[in-house]
Order: sequence, then structure tokens, then C-alpha cells
Amino acid sequence: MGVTIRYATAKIVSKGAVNYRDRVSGHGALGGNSAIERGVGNSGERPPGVAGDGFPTCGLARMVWRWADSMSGEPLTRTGSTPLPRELRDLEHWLELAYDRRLTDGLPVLPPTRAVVDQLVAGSGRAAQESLGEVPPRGGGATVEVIAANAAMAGCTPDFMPALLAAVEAVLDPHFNLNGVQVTTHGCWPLLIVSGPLVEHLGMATAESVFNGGGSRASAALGRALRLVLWNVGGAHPGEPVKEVFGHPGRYAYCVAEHRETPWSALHESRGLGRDESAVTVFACESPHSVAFWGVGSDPEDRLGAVADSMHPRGSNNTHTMGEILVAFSPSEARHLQGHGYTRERVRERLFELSKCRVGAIRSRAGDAPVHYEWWPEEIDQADDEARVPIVDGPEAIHLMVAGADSIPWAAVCPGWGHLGGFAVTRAVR
Amino acid sequence: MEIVDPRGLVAGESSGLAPRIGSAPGDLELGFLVNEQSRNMGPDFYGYTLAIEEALRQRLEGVGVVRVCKPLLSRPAELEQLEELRHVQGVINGLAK
Repeated sequence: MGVTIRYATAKIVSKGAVNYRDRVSGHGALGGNSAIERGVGNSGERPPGVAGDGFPTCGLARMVWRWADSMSGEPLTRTGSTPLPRELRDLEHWLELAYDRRLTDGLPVLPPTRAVVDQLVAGSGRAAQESLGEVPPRGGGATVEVIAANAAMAGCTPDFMPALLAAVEAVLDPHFNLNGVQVTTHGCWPLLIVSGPLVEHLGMATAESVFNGGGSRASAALGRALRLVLWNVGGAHPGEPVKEVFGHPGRYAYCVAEHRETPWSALHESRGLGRDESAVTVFACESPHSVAFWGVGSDPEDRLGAVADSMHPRGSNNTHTMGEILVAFSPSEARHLQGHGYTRERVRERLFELSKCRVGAIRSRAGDAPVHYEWWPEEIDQADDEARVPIVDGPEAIHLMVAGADSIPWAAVCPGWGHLGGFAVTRAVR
Repeated sequence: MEIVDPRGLVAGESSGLAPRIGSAPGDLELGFLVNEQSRNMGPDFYGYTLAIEEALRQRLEGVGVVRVCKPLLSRPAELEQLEELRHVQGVINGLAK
């Protein structure tokens, strides 16, 4: 019996292949790169009843369905990892091996030699074989030693290890939904925020160019190491399984440190830890969007209005689905706000109010546009274009930090993934 | 120079998955796992599965369909939902691509 229908993509999972490991693969559906028959094109006949205008023909929507023809194919197997040679001849051998085995995302990496990895494990103060969990979507086991190997490739030193391990534990928290973050079409990526005394101890950058490391080894290597863990252990490779449409330059390394001299409470303090503790916070977000205070005076409400305007562009996930968002203030702007009585809490409350949107401003009434968002609060009358909708789940979902050059006032907004995940998780570094 | 593999072991990595069935014997039941029923962004995969179901019914006599929609598109299907699909001969789910 044969049925040939070729038009759209679908994954075909044969009988019995629905297992619980597959639950954590792919875009939160059945599978990532397992038990899947991949589509092979977008040509061919359409199924009866499928009109050209009513169904996708490109991009996300380009799907190729070819099930019946493949029913007699070979059994599907999960691709394994070919063992690496234990010994390297020289550095050149390592570089070729790293590219050949896809142990890097394109940038050169240092060799994870046994001697260096052992030093990094010792720096962690934890046992080499202690497991922090499985990293989706691939499901590789994140032991301390494996994380140390990636840290070695990124150029970490032993005193970076406690922060890196805390970061890995944070992204593996189910609240973060790392599986979705890794493979989503959206351009978000885990931003690693370090705060507390550790910032100074590790020599992390907090001033100029803070979002791209500021020339600090610790800032660059910590972000890079987390990336390599997610790449190598998690298998976050573009195409299959990562479906990110455009990408995020921060995927190479996305780490920032908070100023110790913030006029407000520290970020980790606002999240329940003590001021003198050190912490990492992970939050999946877009690149920082610049907010320069053009055309506004010194009135804090006016200035926060400028920030709020950057929090709700129409194409943002936050604008339509809420979730969480990060706002960074330069030290001088934070001092300005604090000087006018705007504490961290008050700034969050005001931004929450000021960033609300009119339904009519963000949602189309045209043709086949969506008519209902089930995740919006019930009290919002979605038929009323004048109704105002919050763009985050509440004031506490606006994460504030102080960073950047202590020069002219400035701010930056990092939109999140909306209600889909990547929510902030904080871990103390001990 | 000894190196340490940075990839980490995958439990059960070497175990094969169930072989595909060679034909559709007798009554056929298929599952559709859909990311979301409401079309808020991107393709209407739920609507598309309706068209596929119609196509199957025209070409395969006695075909049955089990349709499951995830509660949130970015999260895995619930265990109970996968149980609903366990007995079917094949499962089709949309791929954002």
C-alpha cells in the first residue's frame, strides 16, 4: 500500500519509537534528531484540500511530508558520538580534530588536555564524575570533568569553575526550559550575569563594552565555556536540531558582570540572596537594544518612558506573550534615578506601567490575524483596542542591573523569549 | 598529549529505535502531535493536519487519527499525551523549519 504526498514537512516516528527520552528532544515535541524522517524538499503534489494561499509555502512553514514512500526504509538509529583519540600529536592535530568532529562552533578552541582539565576540576572543589544533569537536546551527561573540558577549550582558569558550574546548574533548572531555548526559531540565548564580590575577584569587566566582555578574560571565557557546554554536551548545532531563524551573535559568548557600586540593591540581592554573596543569573534574551536619552529632560518619568518605549516593539515576543525582560542602566543613570527617589522596586513598577500597550497598537484585525491570546490576563477585553496589556508578567519580571561605562547616562533593553521560557534563574556561587 | 572528550556520554545512545513498519497492515491509526491549536504566529499546522487527515481518508480505507495538542509549544508534550499516542502505528508532528 503506498501513498505519495509530497508538500509539507513532517516528522514521522515509527510505532514504538515514542519513548520518554524523546520527550526532551527537539522543539519540545517528540524528537530532535532521533527517530525522524527528514523532509527532502518542497516540490511535488499537494494533498487534496490544501490550498496554496491557506498554507505555508516558505520559511517556517515550508514542510515536506513524505511518509508513505518511506515506510519500508531501514530502521532508524540514534547517531552516536565517535570516540576521540586519547592522544594528540600536536596542536595542529587538535585543531583539525576539533573542526572535523564538530567540537567547536567555528571559532578555534584550546585542547582539553588531561593536565589542564584536572586543574580545572580541582578548582571546582567537586568530584570529577559528579553529574549536574543531562544537557538537552542531545542529552549528554554534564559531569564536572566534561564541563571542565569545555572550560579548558574556552580558556578558563581554575577559579572560574565555581561560577561556571553554578551557571550550568542554573540553565538545567526546568524553569529555564533549556531544551526550548537551545533549539527555538527565536534569537534568544542564555545571558550569564555575574554579580557580587566574585566580579572583582575574577577581574570581570563591568564598564566599557561590558556586553562583549570588555577585554576581560573571565568575562569572555565564562560566556564561551557555557556556550561550548551547550554546543558539545547539548548538541546545539544549527539546522538539526537548532531552528533559530537568524541567530544571535551572543551565542559565541554572552556574559556580563554587574557593577559592585550600584546605588540599588544588587541583582542577586533582589532575587533573594545576600548582598555579600556572589551569584550567577541566567536569562535567555536577545542582544541589548540601545536606549539613548535623546529628546528627554531630567524628569525620571520622562526618561523611564524612553526606556519603556524600547520594551515593546511590535515584533517582540514580550509584547505579545509577556514573560520577562532585562533592563541595564549605566551607573550614572542609576544614580540619577536613585537621586530622585527611584529605588529598584519603584523603577520596576513604573516600567511595568509605562510599557503597557494598547491592544489596537500591537494586534491586527486584518483577515486571518489571530483573534485571541489565551495567555493574556482574563481581565483584558481582547475585543477592545483601547485595552492596555502588560508586556511582562509583573514588575518582578523586569530584571534590572547596573553595568556599562560610568560616563553619559544610557540604558539597554534585552527582550526575553516571552512566555515560552528562558526565565531568569539565580544560583549562589560558593 | 592526552585529551578529555568534551561531549559527555548519552545514556542509551547506542540503542536503536524501533524499526519502521514495512507496510500499513489492515486498519491504520496515526497520531498528530501539534504544537498549538490556535494559530498565533507562523503556519497553521493544526489546520494542515486536518487536510492531511482528509487526504489519508481518501487514499487509505479505514485510517484513524489521534490528534494531540501540546499545552505550550515550547515545552515537551505531557507524558499523558504521549500515552495517548503509544498505540498508534505512526506519529506525525510539525517541524518548525
